Amino acid sequence: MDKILEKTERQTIKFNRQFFRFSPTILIVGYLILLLFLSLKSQIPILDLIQDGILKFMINIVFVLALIPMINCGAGMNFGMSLGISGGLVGMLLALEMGLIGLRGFAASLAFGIVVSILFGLIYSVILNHLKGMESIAAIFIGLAFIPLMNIFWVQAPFTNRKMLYPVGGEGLRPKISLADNFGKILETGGQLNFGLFHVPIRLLMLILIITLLLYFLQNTILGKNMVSVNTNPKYATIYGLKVDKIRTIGIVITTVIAGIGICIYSQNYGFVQLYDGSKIMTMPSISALLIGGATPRYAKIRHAFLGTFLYQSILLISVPVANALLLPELAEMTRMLLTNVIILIAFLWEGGKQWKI
Amino acid sequence: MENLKHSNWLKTLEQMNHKRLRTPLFFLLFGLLSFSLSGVSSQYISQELLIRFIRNAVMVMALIIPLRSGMGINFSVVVGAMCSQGVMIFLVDRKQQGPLGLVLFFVLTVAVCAGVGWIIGKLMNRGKGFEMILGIIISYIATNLYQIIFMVGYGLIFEAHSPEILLSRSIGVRNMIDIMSLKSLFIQGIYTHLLLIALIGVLIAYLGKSVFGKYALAVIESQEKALHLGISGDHVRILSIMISTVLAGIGHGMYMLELGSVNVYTGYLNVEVFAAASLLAGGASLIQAGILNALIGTLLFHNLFILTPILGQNLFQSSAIGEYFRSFIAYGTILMGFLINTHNQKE
Repeated sequence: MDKILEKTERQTIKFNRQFFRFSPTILIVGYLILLLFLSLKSQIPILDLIQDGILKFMINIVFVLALIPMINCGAGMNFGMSLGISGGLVGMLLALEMGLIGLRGFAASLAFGIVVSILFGLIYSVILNHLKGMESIAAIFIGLAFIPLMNIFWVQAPFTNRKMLYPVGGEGLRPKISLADNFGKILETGGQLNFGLFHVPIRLLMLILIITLLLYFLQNTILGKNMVSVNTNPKYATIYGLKVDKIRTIGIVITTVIAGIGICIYSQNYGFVQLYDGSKIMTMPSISALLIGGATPRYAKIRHAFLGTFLYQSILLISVPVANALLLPELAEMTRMLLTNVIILIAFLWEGGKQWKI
Repeated sequence: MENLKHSNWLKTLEQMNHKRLRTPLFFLLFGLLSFSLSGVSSQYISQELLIRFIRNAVMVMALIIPLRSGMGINFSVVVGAMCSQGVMIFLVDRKQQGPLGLVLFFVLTVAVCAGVGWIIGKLMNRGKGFEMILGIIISYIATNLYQIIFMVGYGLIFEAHSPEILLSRSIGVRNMIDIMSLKSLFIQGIYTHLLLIALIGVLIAYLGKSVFGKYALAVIESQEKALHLGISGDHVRILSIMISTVLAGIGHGMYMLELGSVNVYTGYLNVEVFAAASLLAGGASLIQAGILNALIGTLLFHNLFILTPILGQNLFQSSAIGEYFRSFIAYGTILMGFLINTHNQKE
């Protein structure tokens, strides 16, 4: 009798734990509901917001998708995203230097960006393969150490286009280079799909669909399956005859390349190329968005990226007008950064193996 | 000869693996090279070094104890720095600028840092194996909270007793706060600082030899075996993080008192990175560190730190390159520390 009682008790405890399991998705949905409730009080143009949100979602999704191959091949989350971003920036600058305009310019910057990103990704993967087991912390410092190196490059690089150099002195690249004459908003100007009140730019949609489909097919190839086995058990993978380092290198390079494509898409929407410390800001929000979608530091799916980016961008979108209505514009940004970092912290606390108890 | 063989100095030299001397030697040679190329006088450099040494030495020493308990570099020392800044702003707000204020500053800093350190220790015990990355993310979160408290909370939620520290819109603290009256109370020459640094060094050396240090050694060997001996690994780890945070708070307090002002939103930035780079430049690894590593490392690292902008100006006609190069050195040193550590483990 006692044994049965004990068993049922244990089962209820287990059930409770699963039921109350603390999830970042629930935390964010709760915050979103709170923001929506607050926004009901203030007069906010909802339709404009949604149209804005569709674009924001499409621009940021690429950075989040970029994290997936690296997580799935067991190299942790891409805290060193600034390497891929720097690769994309170099590609765009080369296209600008040649004076290419329009779609051709954008395609050229993608091509150059991919080549440079592959180089950077190879360097990145060599260091990360040496530091197995502490990839995340190493990636943070690789990213941070790479930014000053690239800054020296921006100051010393032998570019000659006057539009890119400092107006006074004529040496060193400007922190913000305008893309308006070359390929600013190039992906948004083509045809548009209309869904009632909202419209979606076709070129941007096509590019994102291509990247998503490529990632999806990658998961189903032999290489994708090998990546999963390297991630789950590297020792067995070695015994099985897989080259662990090589597979990890491929995953890391793919991640870096997609991040490079991401910054090209981001910059053409923004209208400027941001150099110097501008490449630092994308990392934490992207990782946080993926974790919000339900991914863990060891396993991620494409749908996690889509759900997470949707939730994260909704918060970003709603919190700004709400905070403006409350007359405290900084508070929105600070709360968002706090939530971003808290979610990454929670993910790592789970990674330690213990379940979160309430 | 017989005596010499058994003297402590020779023993430590024998124990010291020559590989551990590589990093300090590299920094020494590089520092000497940049000193000869920069063309500054030795008087200037020694004066600058002394000031930077007394400002930063305690912060570097704060990293030693968690490192000895097997937690890697404790990047959350910056939280201690934030706590001491917060306490200083609170005291200036309450117009405690006399001797009582100085005593209150140290007492409150120790209390607040111990409390915060306990929380950080608890979090780090939950995510074992990820202490360093947890430390970094905790420091980001603490930065966000600090900004919320002092940019928005002060004046809106907490009432400010002296409105001159607030911005003109009466919400949020000013960028810089003057504490010259406290500085003139605290500093009589540089001897107060040197005395405090010596005291903290002796304390850390004593902790290494004491029961606590032996416990930490057992914990770093194996947590399970330590538990059989009746040593709670979690307890030792929480205590070492608490000590580290308290020392960081005191260290940053000494920095502010030497400077004579509080840079509210920029004073604590990158404190942890420079401290970690100094310690690793002094020849520490990720599992072993001594006070000598900390002190020598501070001198070697800050030597380069002073010289690189001058060097960039001399060689490339642009001080910006020197600045970028020195932040590359700071991050790169830490990365090299990781690489050397894994290399040693493989051997």
